[in-house]
Amino acid sequence: MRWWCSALLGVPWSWRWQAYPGVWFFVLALAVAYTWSVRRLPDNGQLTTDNAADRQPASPRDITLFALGLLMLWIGADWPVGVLAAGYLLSVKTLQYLLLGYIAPGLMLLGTPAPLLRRLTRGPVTSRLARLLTRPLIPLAVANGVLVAVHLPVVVDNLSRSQIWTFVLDLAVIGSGFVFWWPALARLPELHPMSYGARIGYLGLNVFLPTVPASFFTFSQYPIYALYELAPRVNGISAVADQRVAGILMKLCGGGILFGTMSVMFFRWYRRESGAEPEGLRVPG
Amino acid sequence: MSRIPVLTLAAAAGWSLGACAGGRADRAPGDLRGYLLEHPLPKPGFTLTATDGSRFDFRPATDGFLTLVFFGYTNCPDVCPVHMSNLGAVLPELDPQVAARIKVVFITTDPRRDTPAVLRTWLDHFSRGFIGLSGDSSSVAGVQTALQLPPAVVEKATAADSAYTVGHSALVVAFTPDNLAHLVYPYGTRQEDWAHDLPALVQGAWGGGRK
Repeated sequence: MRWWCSALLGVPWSWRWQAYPGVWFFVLALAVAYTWSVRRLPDNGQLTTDNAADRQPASPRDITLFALGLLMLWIGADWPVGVLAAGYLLSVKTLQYLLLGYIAPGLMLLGTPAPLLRRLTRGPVTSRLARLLTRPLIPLAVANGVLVAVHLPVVVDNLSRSQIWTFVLDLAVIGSGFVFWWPALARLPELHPMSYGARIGYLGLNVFLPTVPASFFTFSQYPIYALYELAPRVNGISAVADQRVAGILMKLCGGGILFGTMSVMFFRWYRRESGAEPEGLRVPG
Repeated sequence: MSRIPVLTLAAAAGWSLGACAGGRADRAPGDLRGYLLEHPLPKPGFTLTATDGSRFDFRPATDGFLTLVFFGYTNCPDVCPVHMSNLGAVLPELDPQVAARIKVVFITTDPRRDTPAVLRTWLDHFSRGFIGLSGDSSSVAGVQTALQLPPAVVEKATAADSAYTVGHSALVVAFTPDNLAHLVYPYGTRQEDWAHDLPALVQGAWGGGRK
């Protein structure tokens, strides 16, 4: 029994369902931890602001967003996306990266109530880390460092066949997603988050950095990764066509997510400046 | 797992043609990416049926060309489509004058399912210029033996069974314009490798030296 999706070298792709219990356990553990933590909040949550949202430890909106984040994480890590990404199609690996590294962490962070975040960042180490990550330079370096590292040919070609390594790399991608969104979503006012303008600038910078691997994928004459080039073909898709789709996906969908977030922030900024921002808005600054 | 990956692994690990017939293959010296045969193989003479139904006399039809010969079958799940796909992707990227000096010959090891029409349709997926040949099993086995390759093995096929696999060599044998095969290319040969080696082989260079 395989527990985490990894490359199945030399095995033709099949649409026959396969179980990956490690993925289920991982997603279930996060769901249980969230539910347990949220249920404990009314007793132990430290309400340090007058923000109306803090009085509702887990609103239906929070729960929905977190559940959606978990769903994205599950889809990205489990069969078929996880298996296709690990050893067959670079385009699916890119889709998986967007799910695990952008969409799921962003939704999960938005779905975590502020009092719970406050509790999670209350310790001496976690509070220092939370403050450190609120500043944009380190998240920028971490998120893009992981982006580059997990796309290095030597990493993809040599580590993708190991379940432990794919698990570690997937965790790194998910973790880097939380680090990336932390300063942009800035849920805790007491951490002195960046202004809306700075956050938009931070996201804008992150639109351009992934352009580098995306350009390699799109314009490279030959396949970059031996793993995907030599994998049994899926539906006759050639390795170069797959690579080009990956580049376009990373650029358009990755950019779309960030531009979408930047647009929302811009309009919230505008509404705040014009005094029309509703009370209890989740994104301070 | 079918037998193909086993053969593949053997080939990728520097599998020696001597395993079946006394030859020897080492990584080519110089900067070529294929495996150099210690004793070059002479181009065999044989006649098989092309996909248009005509007789294809291999030796005169490929004389003076860089000829890449591969044995496989259209239902192959892994090695065959990857080799053909990679060659099909690289040839259009080469200098047209170089590409015009290259012939890719695919000989089916599954004549029962690979009719000329099936073979043509499958090859056209990769390149309309690829040559598809078929013949009865003993003729094809004879050609494989002449090239010091292990004959293909049909696995678990019964009269009613149409979902069997065929074990076959994963090597592409490269006959240079001197009508000798100096190099072979295992499964794992990448597009970059083909793009690097083919122009050199067309010019008659192998083993790091040029003629």
